[in-house]
Amino acid sequence: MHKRSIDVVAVMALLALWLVPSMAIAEGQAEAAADQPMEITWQLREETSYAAQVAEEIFNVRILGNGIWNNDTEKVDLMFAAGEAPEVFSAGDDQFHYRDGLTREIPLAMIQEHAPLHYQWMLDHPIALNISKSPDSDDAYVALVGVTMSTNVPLIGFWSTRADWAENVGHPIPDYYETRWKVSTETDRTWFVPANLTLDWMEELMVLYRDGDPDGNGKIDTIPASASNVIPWSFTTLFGAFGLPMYSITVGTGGVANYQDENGDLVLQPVSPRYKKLLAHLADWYAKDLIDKEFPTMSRQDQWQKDMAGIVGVQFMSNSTYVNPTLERPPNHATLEEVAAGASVAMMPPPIGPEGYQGVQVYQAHSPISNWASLKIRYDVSDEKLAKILQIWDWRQHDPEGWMISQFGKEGVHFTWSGEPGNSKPIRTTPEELEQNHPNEATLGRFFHYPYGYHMDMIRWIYSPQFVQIWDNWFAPGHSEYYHTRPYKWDLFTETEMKAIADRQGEGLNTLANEFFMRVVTGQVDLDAEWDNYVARWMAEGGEQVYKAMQNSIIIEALHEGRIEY
Amino acid sequence: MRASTVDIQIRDNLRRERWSRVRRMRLLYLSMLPALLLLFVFNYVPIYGIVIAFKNFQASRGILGSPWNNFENFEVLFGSFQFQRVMRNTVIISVQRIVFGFPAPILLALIINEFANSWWKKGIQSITYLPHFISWVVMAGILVEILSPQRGIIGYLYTVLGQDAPLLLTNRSVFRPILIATDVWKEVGWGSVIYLAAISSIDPTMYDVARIDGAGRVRQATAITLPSLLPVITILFILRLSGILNAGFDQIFNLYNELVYEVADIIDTYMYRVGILSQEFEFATAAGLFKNVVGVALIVLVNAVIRRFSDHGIW
Repeated sequence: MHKRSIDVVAVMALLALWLVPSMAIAEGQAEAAADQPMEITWQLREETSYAAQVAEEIFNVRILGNGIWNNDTEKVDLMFAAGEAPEVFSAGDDQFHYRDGLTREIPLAMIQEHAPLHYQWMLDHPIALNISKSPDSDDAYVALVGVTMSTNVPLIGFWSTRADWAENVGHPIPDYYETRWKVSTETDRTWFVPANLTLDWMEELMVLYRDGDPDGNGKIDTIPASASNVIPWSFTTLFGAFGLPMYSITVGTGGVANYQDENGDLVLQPVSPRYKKLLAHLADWYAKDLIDKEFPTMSRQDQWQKDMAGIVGVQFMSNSTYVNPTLERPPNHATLEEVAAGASVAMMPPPIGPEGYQGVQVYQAHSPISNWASLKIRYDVSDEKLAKILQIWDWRQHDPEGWMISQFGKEGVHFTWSGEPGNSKPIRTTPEELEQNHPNEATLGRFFHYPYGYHMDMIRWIYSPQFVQIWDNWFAPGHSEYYHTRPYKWDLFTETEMKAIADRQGEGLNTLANEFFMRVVTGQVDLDAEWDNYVARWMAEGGEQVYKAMQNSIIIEALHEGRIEY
Repeated sequence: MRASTVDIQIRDNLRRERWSRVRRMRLLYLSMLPALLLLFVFNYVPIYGIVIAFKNFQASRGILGSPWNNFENFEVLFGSFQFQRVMRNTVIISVQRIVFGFPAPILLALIINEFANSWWKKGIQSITYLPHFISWVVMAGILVEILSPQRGIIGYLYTVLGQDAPLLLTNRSVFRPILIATDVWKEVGWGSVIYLAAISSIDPTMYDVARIDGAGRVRQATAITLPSLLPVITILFILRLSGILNAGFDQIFNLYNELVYEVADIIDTYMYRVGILSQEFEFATAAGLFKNVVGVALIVLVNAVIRRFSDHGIW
């Protein structure tokens, strides 16, 4: 009994030793909390950054980034699966998350009061007034939307080839030296050539690459054209050459790529006659060894590594680093200097197809203002905290000072102007330079990478003066409409059953379409023999419902002309 | 019939003795606690999450607060055109893994056991089980390079023979054999460890007696080693069957592509695409629950069958 008493006393003493300091700490924390800045958890690529620190000072908040980038899809998926969505996040579909109760409404009155610049921007761009609206209230939204600058800049719409190789095989790009425009400050090996060439011309070039020795090393070891298993991306410009308005065959929450045919009827792209012709063309090129044989097993990164290894002749969609070598994309910071001595790349407008179609979809083809990567607010965020978030958003998204800080940081530390201050491209300091010259400054990071918040005049800060010149002359509004393609209809405001269809049947439809694409292009099935079966199956597995939903969606061209039509 | 006073006395004594034994060994029982706690927290507590298979899961309302949906997830699962295909592939790949992968470690253990030189024995054992420690992410990268028609050794051999190298990972007729062969190669060494341990516990006098009776090494293996291993083989076989619907997500996910979905898409890869990529967690849970129910049913059935024809079994 005596021993038991000692045991009990010992246990109580241990508990007391643990509890008393804990209670004291908790009490102290509660007192300190009143003076602490408001903490906001935020989906950000880095846990902290220079811009986040500036925002913390200005708005007296503490921003806690979770280190998850939108493009890191696996981490994003796991974030939601684990129930760890932060209070502010940009990943996922806004209506989906609101319907699932993960996010809260953002009242219009609060936007007017706490984000006046954003409200003015909404008034200037009326699409923004209708997009991401709450299904439960006329005066509230389920997300804050941004604008994709590249919506009106077909940056991704070039096809490219090694100009030096084209000369080596005796099939030079017409007027290459007379008409070429330098693309980038960082390298003098990438050129824009405004040559509108046909697919036949491209095929002749690729055949010469296949049969000849374009790199002059005495071996037949080059690949005429590269691609990856990210199906639409690899073949971007070829879709437009066959009259297909979007480089996509998959069903998403806003719909599926579609066009209006010669009879005025809605046609869904994955089961369209034009798509069938594209497939036949690609299958022919694959059978002729013009497209990399390995592409079905290659990721986009694998493809880029081959591009930058200097063994590829043609890209149907230019490598992004050709346009902007400072882009942080794989292969990171690789430039043509690393490819081969004397290498030069020519980037050209979309090619012209057999029936005269030419063009390319740009990001968010349906609308320059979209809910893509929109900013969502978690369901348990208070009005007080939402007000702070809106103020930060206004500063970052629409105030030029906030925008510059979040994109480029502090002048002289994180960047220097390449030309006239404020009217040229800021050149970012490399991490090594920052550490060497400003060891006490925070790294730039990517504060608010999504959603994009570009205003059109900000293009001068994103791209080199050379590229801006090209843009002004060839792709700015007034010049570029010829190359742009947009879908006929899109469920932009989530007004149809499209979202529900995509959730339940989308994966099946996309598997059907992707498998058929791969099997036809690689010659595993005969296109003509299997086409009707494929179309019938796709329509039966949900395509019919998709068609009805798309019929009830808004006409995109009318939207761009300021009208809402169905 | 009422229990007699003596019976009650005996029962009480037994109970007292049992508790007395527990008290004596309390340290041993206490040392089990962390393991039991771990098992409970990570293997039993999450089971309540299965409920979302029957619900329209809404993160803000939580698992218990989300509304029921009248088996809609199961209706969609069984109604999907992909269900039949993924079921077929899952069963075929799993059966092939069992047919080729289950006997391989036994065979390897028997062979290793025959080496008299302990250096050889240990060397081979180490070399064969090392691949087990390489993850499928890394292993898939190595395989893709080996099988590449442009860079791999297979492609080189075809080129030497003057032929076009095929892209094996997109070929439906060879994809499953590649899966099985690489899986057996990766796991055979690790799988043989348990059999080698069992072999080492066989009474050596049985071999001495067999040798005196004139039994050769093959005869000793078939008459002594294999029968002695039978209880272990039986238990491992039953456990293996319970996982028949686990066809190897890591390996397939890192190697497959659209061209081989027809022969390689399994329940787990399908669940991943629908559940994680499309964020239909409740649907993925329904598919996972179905898989586990089949697993439990199989383990009960196979155990019953084996118990009927032998003395072995897991309960």
